[in-house]
Amino acid sequence: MAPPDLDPGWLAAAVALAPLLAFLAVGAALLVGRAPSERGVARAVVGALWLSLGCALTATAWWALHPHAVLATTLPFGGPFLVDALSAPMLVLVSVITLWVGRFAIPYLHREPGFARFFLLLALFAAGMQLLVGAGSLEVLAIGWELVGLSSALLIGFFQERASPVRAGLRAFGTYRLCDVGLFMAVAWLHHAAGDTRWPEPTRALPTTALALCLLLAAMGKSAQFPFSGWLARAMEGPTPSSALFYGALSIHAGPYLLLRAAPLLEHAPVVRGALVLVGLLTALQATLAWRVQTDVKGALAQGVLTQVGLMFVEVGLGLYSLALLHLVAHAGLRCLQFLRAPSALRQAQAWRAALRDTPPPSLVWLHRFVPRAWAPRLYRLAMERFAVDALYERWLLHPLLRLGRALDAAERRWVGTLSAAEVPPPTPARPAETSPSNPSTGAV
Amino acid sequence: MTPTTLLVPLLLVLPIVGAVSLVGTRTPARALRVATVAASLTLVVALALSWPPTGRARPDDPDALLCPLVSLLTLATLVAGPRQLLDRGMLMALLLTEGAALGVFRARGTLPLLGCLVALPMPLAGLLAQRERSAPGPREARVFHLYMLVGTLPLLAVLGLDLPDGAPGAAYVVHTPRPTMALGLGALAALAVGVRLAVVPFHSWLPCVVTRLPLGVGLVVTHLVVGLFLLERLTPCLGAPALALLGTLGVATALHGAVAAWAQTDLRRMLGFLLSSHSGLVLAGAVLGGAEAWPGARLHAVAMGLSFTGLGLLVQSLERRTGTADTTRLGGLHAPGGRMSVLFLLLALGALGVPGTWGFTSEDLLLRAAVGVHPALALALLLALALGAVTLLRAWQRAFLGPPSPRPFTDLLPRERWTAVALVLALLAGGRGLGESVFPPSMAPSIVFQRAHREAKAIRNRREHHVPVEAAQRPGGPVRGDDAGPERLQFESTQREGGRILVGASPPRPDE
Repeated sequence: MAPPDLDPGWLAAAVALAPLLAFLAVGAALLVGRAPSERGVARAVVGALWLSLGCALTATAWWALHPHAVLATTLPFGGPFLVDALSAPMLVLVSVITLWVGRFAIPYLHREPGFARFFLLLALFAAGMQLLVGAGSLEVLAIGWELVGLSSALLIGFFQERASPVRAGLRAFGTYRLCDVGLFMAVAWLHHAAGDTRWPEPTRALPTTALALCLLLAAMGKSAQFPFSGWLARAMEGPTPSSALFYGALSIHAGPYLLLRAAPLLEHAPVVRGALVLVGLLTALQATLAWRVQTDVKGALAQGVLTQVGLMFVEVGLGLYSLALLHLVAHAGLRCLQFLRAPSALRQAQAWRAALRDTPPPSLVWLHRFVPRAWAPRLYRLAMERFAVDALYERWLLHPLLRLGRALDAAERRWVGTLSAAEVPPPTPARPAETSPSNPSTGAV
Repeated sequence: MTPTTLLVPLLLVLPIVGAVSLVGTRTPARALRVATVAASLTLVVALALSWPPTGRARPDDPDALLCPLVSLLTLATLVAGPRQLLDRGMLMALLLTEGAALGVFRARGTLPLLGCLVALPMPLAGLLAQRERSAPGPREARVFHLYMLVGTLPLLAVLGLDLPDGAPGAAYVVHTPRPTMALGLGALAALAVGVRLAVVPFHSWLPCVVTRLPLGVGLVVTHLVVGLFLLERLTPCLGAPALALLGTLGVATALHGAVAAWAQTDLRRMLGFLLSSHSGLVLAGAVLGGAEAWPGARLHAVAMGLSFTGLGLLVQSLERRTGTADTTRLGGLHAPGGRMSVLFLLLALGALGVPGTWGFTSEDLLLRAAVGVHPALALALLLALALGAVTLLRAWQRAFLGPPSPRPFTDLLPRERWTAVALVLALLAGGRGLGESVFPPSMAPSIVFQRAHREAKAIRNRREHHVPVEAAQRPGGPVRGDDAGPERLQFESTQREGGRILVGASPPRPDE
């Protein structure tokens, strides 16, 4: 009996649709019925991730057997989905790491009150990331991009009973939204200029520099590049599996992936490529200095991630696309492992110390020895504050915006009072600012 | 006689009959039952009328979206609203507003249109006046009366000009060969639309009403939707200066509402300013983007209506349970009020345009139209949207997350929960995506529509300015205007008949 013919296009689409269906099923069960058991939730989501991995492997194998072809299909909601030289390795990488983290999280979050919520958001993230990676148009990428950002912000605030993670989630969401202005601008502009949002070809007459700048802004926000890097350190408030998945392995690399996908556009925008190199170098320099003064393992890893992602931006800016892709895949795997091992870092360090006995451990940190002695204290303070990016952000953006909003509100109340010939009650005093250890500047800037 | 001819009068009569029947009811519970039955039947009739015989809704048909929307919002308010607030006055106001709005949508002559437009704000004004008498506080009724007076008088002037020769079945608005008079009438019409859509500086009634009557968010949304409908009908008689002015005011409203909402701690007032911001977005996109932006504007009105009505109902439920809607006094309610928290989040996500909801599709369409005018315009609207999104998520976090609250709290009742779930499902039903879909009008047809419109415009410009085809051709691009067929040009030419401007850019209905 001959095996049934499988449409490779459907297999490719199923890579993203399987976790999406799991998300919808678990979400509906949580919303309208009784909360399902941990085992049921884990089985549904991890099963969908297994299915996604199988489909990704099959679609990639099909592509590998037809190396000069591009496997293109249309998703049920109408967007194109591609398997090509860039997306094929990423589809497999995303499937493997998501499944890996899902398996890790089952015992890690056992009996945690938000167990079902974590897996629900994991399924949403997996669907979003696969859509982002396999998107055949900027519009489909924007859908995946939004789902990834949303699940990221909600998972940072996973421990909802504490104020600090909740605030950190809002900060991340705010930065994403601000920078996503660039992505949506690019979507609308590309559609206006070219008639659709499929990946632009170099031959088209497009406003390449403007489009590339928009995409650069979006990539900077999602990958926490300078000056939008403040949210990443706060994002470590989330549970370790989500930190590994989002900020070690996948979400943080969405920016370089977007730029790799937009490489034909960047080829015609030398100014933006220069900006990419500059942004990448600044981020790498800032993060490597901040990494040297971190006292917790997740914070140090986050700064290490930023350093490497900054270098990926530099590689893309220099046109080294293959190197950037290789760097991305290798770095994602390594950092995911490091993040997942972070909870046992102390034990590991003690084991090393016991093994080394009196032998001094090898030091990998030597660059800062070249810093002049007079600069050291100020540089140390700056690095401790991560160059006070957050303080500047609050001083120059958030507070003026809030003052403007209050002024508008007060004017509104006065006007209504005049019209109604009555005194309108003043607004409730604002909530007093809560102290945050990482927020206020010590005066270094 | 077709079923449509039977159903249309039924649609208009049912809410009025329901409202009149309330006079004879003896108990509040019975009054609520009567109102709910009337609203349910109205929704069924609206859906039956909207369901096209071909199975595909036309993007250019506003009634197909707006009539069921208004009916659904009224029913949702009746089912999920707190029983203590749904007294006979509130029920009558809801049904009469619904009837007037449906009358506006279905009016086929100037006089009925005018009558329904004038009658629309009256129930809400009466309700506000009644509340003002019963509870001391700021006089929102006076503010509402003033604004509606300012918005209605110009409308009477503009529409009244057509009364002597208003042909039945058509909506002729302006008939004047004099440009100064046309300009003046255009300004009056812009004023009328600006007040109805709560555009800066005519917006103050909206946050007032939402703060005073949080249960009335559905009523306010109905006013905004009618304002959008009126704008669509009046657009052909608004000259280019009036349209540019309205578009600029729309951008200003979007930014003003978003910034003012950002500074609020009261959930009701925040919702009011956000509604105003979205109204500005719709106005700016629709007016400046031209005919191609109208499907996006209508879709956005639907998304806005569903999500903000749901949010208003949840805020009202929250306030009834905790005694406050101030976020500085809320927080930590996620554990006892898990379902309320999740539904609030889902409706907020619908309002901020997450992929998969109506809002995502509509915002995309509006932004495309805005970019076509100028990229800076789209950038301003995107910034307003981003700020509004962060405000909504922050409101959810402050109201529900954080250290657990010690106060006793009851989660949503089944009727409240299922209403919110229905609104969430309705939000999701329209967000199926980018490609061709049966209902709602997806992006793909509108893209074709946009291209055809752009190309027809290019041909018209070339004819007017005698530009040769080669000069207007972009290097390497396809030859423009090749597929702009004679039907398209014929359709555009039918919009102008002998110096009279025919209101409404949509082709005639098959049943007329």
